[in-house]
Parts: sequence; C-alpha cells; structure tokens
Amino acid sequence: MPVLAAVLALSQVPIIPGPENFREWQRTLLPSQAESRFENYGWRNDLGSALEEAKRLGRPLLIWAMNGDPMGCT
Amino acid sequence: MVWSNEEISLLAREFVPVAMECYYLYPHDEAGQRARAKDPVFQTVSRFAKQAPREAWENTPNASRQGIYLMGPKGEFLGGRPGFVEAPTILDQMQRAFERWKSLKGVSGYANQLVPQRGLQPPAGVSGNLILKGAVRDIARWKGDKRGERLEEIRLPNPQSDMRRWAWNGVWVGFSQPEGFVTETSGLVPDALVRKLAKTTLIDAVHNQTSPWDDTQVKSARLEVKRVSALGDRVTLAYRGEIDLRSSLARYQPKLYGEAVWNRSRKRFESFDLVAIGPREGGSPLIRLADDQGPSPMGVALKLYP
Repeated sequence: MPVLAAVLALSQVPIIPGPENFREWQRTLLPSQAESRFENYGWRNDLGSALEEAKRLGRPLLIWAMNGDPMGCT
Repeated sequence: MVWSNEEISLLAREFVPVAMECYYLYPHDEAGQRARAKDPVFQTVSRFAKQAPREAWENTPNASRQGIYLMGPKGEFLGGRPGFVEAPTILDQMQRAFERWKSLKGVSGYANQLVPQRGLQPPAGVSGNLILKGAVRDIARWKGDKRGERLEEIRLPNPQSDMRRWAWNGVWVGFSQPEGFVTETSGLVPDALVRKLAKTTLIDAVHNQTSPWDDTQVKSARLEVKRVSALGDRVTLAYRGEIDLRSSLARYQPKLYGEAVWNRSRKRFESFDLVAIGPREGGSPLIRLADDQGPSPMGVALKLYP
C-alpha cells in the first residue's frame, strides 16, 4: 500500500477523498497487474455466442463458471 | 492464482474461453432446468452433463455448477471439475481435455482454426456509452493489518479455495446517457444515475459475491459536478459526493471524489476516475466473516472502460 494511503488509513480520522489524494487512493484500490492477469484471457461473456464461435472455428470451449460473474459485477 | 499460471495461460489459447455466472450455465434446481428445456444452449450443456462423470460435473447433489469445464462445440465432454479448484488440477484437466480434443477433431471433422485473441469484455448485462470498471477493496485498519493487501503480498497457500481471504473484487456499471455526468457550470448529477452507480458499484463484494443494493436501501445519494476548465472541445470536470447505503444487515457510507474529461464534439468521456471511501459495517455470513463485522474502511475505485 502506498505511504500516503497507509498513513491515512492508520490514523483514526475519517478518510475523505479529494483532489490532493484521490489518484493515490485509486492506485491503492485498483488491482495490480498480478491480481488482474485473469482478465488477459479474452473471456467471452455470453455462452450462446461463444458456442457459435466454437462451432464456426471448430474449437473446444473453456468455461469458467462461478456464483456471480467471474469478471465482477456480482 | 490459477489464471496466473503460465502453462494454463498458454493452453487456454487452444480453447474459446467463456466466463459466466454458473446458474446461466446450468440451473441447479429443477424449475430452472424446466424453464430452459427448449433453449439450444441449455440442450448443448445438458449433452455435456450426461456424458460427464460425477466428479467432473456434480460432486455435490443440487449444488451450483461453479467450476471449470472443457467442452466440444456440440457439447462433447472433454473435462471438468466443479467447485473451487487449484491450478494443478485445472492444468491436468485442460491437458487431458486437449488430448481428447486432438482425437475428436479428426473424427468429427472440426476445422480447428486459430482462436482470435480478444481484449477484456464487460460482464453480460453491462453496456452503454459510458462504462466504468473498478474494484472494491478493504483498507488497512491498524499497523500490520493485512486487509487490503495485494494478492501477491498475501501469498495464500491455496489461492482458489482461500478466495474469501482475497482483499478485492471487481465491479462494473454502464450508462446509456453519459451526458448526465456533464455540466458547463456546476450542478447535481441526476439522481437516477447516482443511484445506479451506488447500487451496483458501492457494494461490499470484497470477499464474496453480493447483491446490488435495492432502491429502498439508498438512503441518500448526492453527486455534485463542477466544470474545472475547458480547452477546445475538452471539458475537465470534478465530482464530489456522499452516499448513504443501509440495509438491516449492512451499511456503507462513502464520500466520493473524481475527475473526468468530456469531449464535446465526440460526446464521449476521454477519462473518468472516481474514488469512494467510507465505513462499511455488517454483511451477511456469506460475505463477511463473523469477526469482520466492522465498522472498517472500504474503498471503491472506478475507471473508464475501455
């Protein structure tokens, strides 16, 4: 966690995002490259159209199914 | 994490990858199955299910079908594992599935063309002229507190099955009328837009999936927008706001700040960055562990997609 974020978080005062700190908070909150590698697979978001694509290409499917959409928006 | 595995990443290029909510893959209840009986997609998945050995599809009766599945274009069973599965098991399943596929493609005459590599797509149901993608994350509460740490710093022994120890989750929202976020002076963003933003993205999904807030749980939602500067077609905007979200089980009361650049002639945002930080408290047992009821700080950051 970046220094400013850590200092603010560890203080007892409420954290108020503003022009002076919101970029750093954004960096703190958004996932790192390592955390978001799963996004690089080119996941299709609809099984129906993925099946059509698989038939057209003559290729198998890799299906990742979860309670809630794996891409977020749960 | 499973998808960080290099071998899995390379082998995945042999497949058309699809990520989805498991109920849409195959409803685990009979009513849901009956409702989709005539749906060709469901029929294809059902063909797969009939061929799959129990351990590859339904190791717990009537459980949801979350897991990893490898399937031919006509529903041929190639492999699968329900539940949370670690990288070695997934890789093993993918390798076995690919071997089965090599035999099947010749017998069945599949074209076996290259799978086009694509960028990230929003989840199903997220669309519009303004799409924001972001993350919700815990914030450390005291010195040494591990909450909010990045996945690579935590070094979970079993990343997949320890998923409830992860410190973040993704959120998305789409708007069909982005003009509501624009002003030439100052004003309030329309209530409907702020409520949609609040209900779908300011959620405590850090450790598990959760439902959006409903309208009655949005006690107040206010987002001011102010023009900071303008240069040619480009207008720089700043946002400040405060949201109060409460249910019988949980609350989240963040303050918001953000900045964006709107292009007047293209009628599109060129950038849109928003941060929400505030105390969260409570949560259902599925979402928060009993010893993690708070109050504690939680943040949400949103960025323009793509």
